[in-house]
Order: sequence, then C-alpha cells, then structure tokens
Amino acid sequence: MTISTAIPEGAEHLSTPPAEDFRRLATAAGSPPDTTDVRAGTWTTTERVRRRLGDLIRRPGLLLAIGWTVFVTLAAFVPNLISSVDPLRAVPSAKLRAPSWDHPFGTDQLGRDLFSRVIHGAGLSLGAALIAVAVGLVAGTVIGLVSGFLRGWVDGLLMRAVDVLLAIPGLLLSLALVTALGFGTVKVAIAVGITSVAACARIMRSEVLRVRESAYIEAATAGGARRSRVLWRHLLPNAGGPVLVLGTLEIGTAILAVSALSFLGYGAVPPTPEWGSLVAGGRDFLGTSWWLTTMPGLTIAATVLAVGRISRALGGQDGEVR
Amino acid sequence: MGGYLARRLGQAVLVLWAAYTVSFLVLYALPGDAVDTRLGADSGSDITPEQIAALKSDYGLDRPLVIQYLTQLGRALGGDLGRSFDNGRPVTSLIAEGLPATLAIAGAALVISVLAGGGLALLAAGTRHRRLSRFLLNLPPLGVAVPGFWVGLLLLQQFSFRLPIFPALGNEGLRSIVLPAITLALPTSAMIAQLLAKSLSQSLAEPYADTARAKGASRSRVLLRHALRNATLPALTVAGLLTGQLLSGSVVVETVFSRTGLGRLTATAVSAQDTAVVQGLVIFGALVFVLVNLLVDLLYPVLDRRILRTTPRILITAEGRT
Repeated sequence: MTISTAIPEGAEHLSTPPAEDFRRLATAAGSPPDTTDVRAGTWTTTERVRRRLGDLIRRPGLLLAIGWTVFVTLAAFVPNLISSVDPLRAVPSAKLRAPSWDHPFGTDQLGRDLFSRVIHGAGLSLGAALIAVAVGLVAGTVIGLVSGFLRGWVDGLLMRAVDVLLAIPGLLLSLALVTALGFGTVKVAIAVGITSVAACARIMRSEVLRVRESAYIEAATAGGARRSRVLWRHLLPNAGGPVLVLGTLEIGTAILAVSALSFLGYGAVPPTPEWGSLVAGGRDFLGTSWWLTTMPGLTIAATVLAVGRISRALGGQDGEVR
Repeated sequence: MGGYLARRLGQAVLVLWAAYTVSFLVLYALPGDAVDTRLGADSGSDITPEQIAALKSDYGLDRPLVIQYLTQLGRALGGDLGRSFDNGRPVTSLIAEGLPATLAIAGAALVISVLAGGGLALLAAGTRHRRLSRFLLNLPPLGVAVPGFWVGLLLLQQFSFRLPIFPALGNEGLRSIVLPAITLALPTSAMIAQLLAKSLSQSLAEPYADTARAKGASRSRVLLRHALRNATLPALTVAGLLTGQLLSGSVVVETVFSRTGLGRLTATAVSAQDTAVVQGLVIFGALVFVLVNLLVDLLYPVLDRRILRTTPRILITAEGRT
C-alpha cells in the first residue's frame, strides 16, 4: 500500500484553468457562454500536448510504464489477440515445461500454457481491481461531497464513520466482508473497494471545503443557481481532480489486494485463471518448476509498478519522494 | 494533561465500540447466513432442519439482530468474544494461542523495517552522490509494488529449496523466523523509508540545519543530531498504520510459510466462514491499532514539549491516518 494519501500537489492540469472559471461564472450569472476564446483554447491545448510528448521522450521509465499498461489492458479486453492458445486446454505430454519459444512462461502440471493463462487472467484480475477502485471512488466521493457541502452534524457523523473504517486494518476489513458476502472475484473486488472509501472521502471533503470558498461558487449561488446545480456542475468537477489522481494510485493497491485475496483462495473457482491464484497454484512446485510462481508474480509486480509510475506522473510528483 | 488524557482515552474507547459495531453489521447483518452456508456447503442434506435450528439457538443466531448485538457487546465488554462456529472453542483463547507466533515474526519484521527503512532514508539524505540518492529513493515504491506472497515464495525457492539454509515451513526455532520476517518487513520498510526520507529532506531545509552547518557541524552531525531527531516525530504517526500492515501481512506470510499464528487463524476462519472468529480478529486488529495510536499520542508530548503547550488539538486529529 502507498502510505501517502494526502492531496497530491500540483494537479493543476486536472483542475479547471482560470479562463474556464470566468466562462462558468458568466454562464452561472445568466449571460450566454463566451465563445470567442475557443481558438486560444485549442492553441494552448496543442502546445500542452507537444510539451507533454517532449516530456515523455525524456522519461523512458514513464514510457515503458505506459507501454506495459497498454499491453496489459489489451490482454484484459482482447486476450485472444495476444495469446490464441486456450488457457484451459491441458496437454499431458507437455506438462511442467520450462519457458521456451513455444511456451514463453512455460507450462503447468496439467500441460496448460502459463503465458496464455496469465494473459487470459488479466481480465478478471484487472477487472476486479477496477471494480474495487470504482466502489471506493464513487462511495468516497459521495460521502466526501455530502460531508463537505452540508457541513454541520452530517459532516461530523460521516467523518466519524470514516474514522472507524480507518481503524480496522484494510485486509482484515476486506476479509470480514468476504466472510459475509461469500467467495468470488466480484465479491472480493467489492470487499477491497470498501477499504478505500475512507481515504477517498477524506480527500474529497477537504477539496470541497477548499473549492466552496471560491468566487465562482459564490457567483453561482448569487446568480440563483439551485444547491443541487452548484453541487453537480461546479463543486464536483472542480473538487474531483485530486480524488481521481488518488483513484489511479489506488488501482495498484487494489491489484495487490485482489491478488492477495485470490492467492488465499477467496477469488475465482480453480480452473479459471486469475493472477493471484496462478501464483498459489505454483506453490507445490517451488522446488522444481520456478516459472509457475515467478512469471505470474512478475506480471503482477510489473503492472502495479507501471500503474504507480503513471499515477505519480499524473499527480505531478515526478522525481519527488512520496 | 489529565483532561487531555481522559479525552484521548474516551476517544479510543469510542473508536473501539464503533469498530465492534461495524464488524457486527458486516458479519451478522449482511445477507448470507454463516450457519446455513457452512452446513449446506459441507454435507448436502444429511443434517435435519431441527439440528440446524438447535445449532442456531445454541449460538444465539435465532434471536432478533438487536438482541444479538446487545448481548454480544455485553459479553465482549467482559472480555468474551464468543465461540468458534467451527470447533466451539472460545475465540479469545484461539487468539491467545496464535498471538506469540505472530508477535515473534511481527517483532522481527519491525526491527528489520526500522533498520532497513531508516538506513535507506538516512543514506539517501546523507550521500553526496545525487545518482545514488535517486536510486535509493526509487527502491521504496518497488517494495510497495511487489506482492508479499510472491516475495515469500521467491525467498522459499532460493533459500529453502535451491540452497537449504532455512526451513521451508513450520514454527520451530529462530531460523524459521528469518524468511517470514523479511517478507513481512518489505512493505513496512518501504513505508518507513518513504516517510523518513521525506521528513528528513524537510528537516534539512529548516533554518536550524543551516545554523548548525554555519556553526561548523559536520554533514553527518547535522543529519544525525539535528535533522534525524526532528524528522522522527512525524514518522511516529504511522506507527498504528504499520502495526495494522504487519497484522494484515501476517495472514499472507503465515499461509506462504505454513506457520501457525494469528494470520493463519484468520485465513482458516475466513475459508470456513467462521463468523465469530473473524469478528474477534477484526476487533483485535482495531484494538491493537487504537492502543498503538494512543501510545504514540501519549508519547508525543513527552518527546516534544512544544506540542502540548501550543496545539493539543493537532494530536487528536493525528490519529495515524495518512
């Protein structure tokens, strides 16, 4: 897990630039949206894109991370594009083969191709991580938004509830949820997601408290906008940036937590490949077939590292200690 | 001081009560009946409905939820966490049996993480070589990204199977502690290193560090005598988080190394959907977290007198959260 869930600094490219604020202010105050600055807007975007591309080339680590993430995402959505071998097809004559050109990750005790199993397992493992992050983000954002917007006793109550979630060690909380909900990838994902609600809620709340003091919120309220409109149109888009950055950070944590639970045997039912359970499946062959645990484990580690690298770049914390 | 102590103690009790309530809600109020699932899953249909009913009333599961909650809470206040659904033994004695083994590896892991994490941070802050410093600071994210169960298996593979230095499984002797402790220490070392490196670099930029340098103090003296002492305090706030991480990590580590202990107890209880044991362990986790944070908060004013005199409220919000 990452230890800092404090608001990532310098997420300025995610928040609305001042020009946008003025336009919104005008819209909120009742005048038609100002369209004259559209060309200027595209020019700055192109310039920004060019600058970002230039940055990318100078950062091979980030480029590698993006490449790996694209590869793994492809594996998750169209596994057959990368490996057309059936991950469940057992070839008894080719069991426990070491990695070779035909089987890049080797084969398991039933003669199934491990590379294909890892590729086809990406969908479940990454999907579960995304569900987990979505659960945490949505629930956390709603709690933080309501808490920061309404203030008063609602805020006090919600924040105390969030404190309690923080007092129970994350894995223990998700294990309790798994005990109650039952086993399976989706249930594991939900259980993992709930443990990240607290962090998201805290950040969202502090952002809402910061943003609600801004001039454009005041202008919108003064212009007669309804509370719900202020909440959805002005507060949420402007306060959401840091939470989204946290969300990308949480993907890595979620992949680790989901694969740990799947390693312990609470995820998908055996023949279905899933990263954590693939590592668990190689436990009995540690002394003889190293690739059975090493390859899926390396895949998990590389993915978590890549996602972490990208989210640190998004959070503007490059080269800085977190 | 007396008022502060009383307030802080009251808070700790409240958090514990809330954690108890959350775990009860999760485990008993969510749909899915542990007794039904377990009996149904275990043995098809050779258990009569009467037997199920008798079992339920034996554990008090046939009564209304509110009554169950109140009686259980009453018992928990007296130190009774109920009996295991699996073998009928008291949960407290199960926890007491598992505690020493887990304490041994967690203690060893804590020592390793303080030495490794602290050493890494000090070296990164103290070295004149920018490249070495950058390299060292890139290690902690790596430590957080690799899955613990995989590291454990890799260590087993290298140091138990290829080179038979350490036993592959079991609780006997000091040698069996080494590999589990290293595995457990990996994420916590990374956490300590990240936090300490950050707060060291902040301390080194403070005016008092300049003053010390101006007075002719050597590089290492400024680092060790001046910066380190001030940088340790903020690092203490994560003590609760660290213990939580060690406790959660033990679930995976004890499974990988086939050791007995609290983590193994947790894993088997979840697999057997033994609700009472899981709840007991969650409450135990929260208790440890609350106690450690209480200890840190009480220690804080002793270590730094300024805190008590100026802003006691900061302490209350510094509850080990990130």
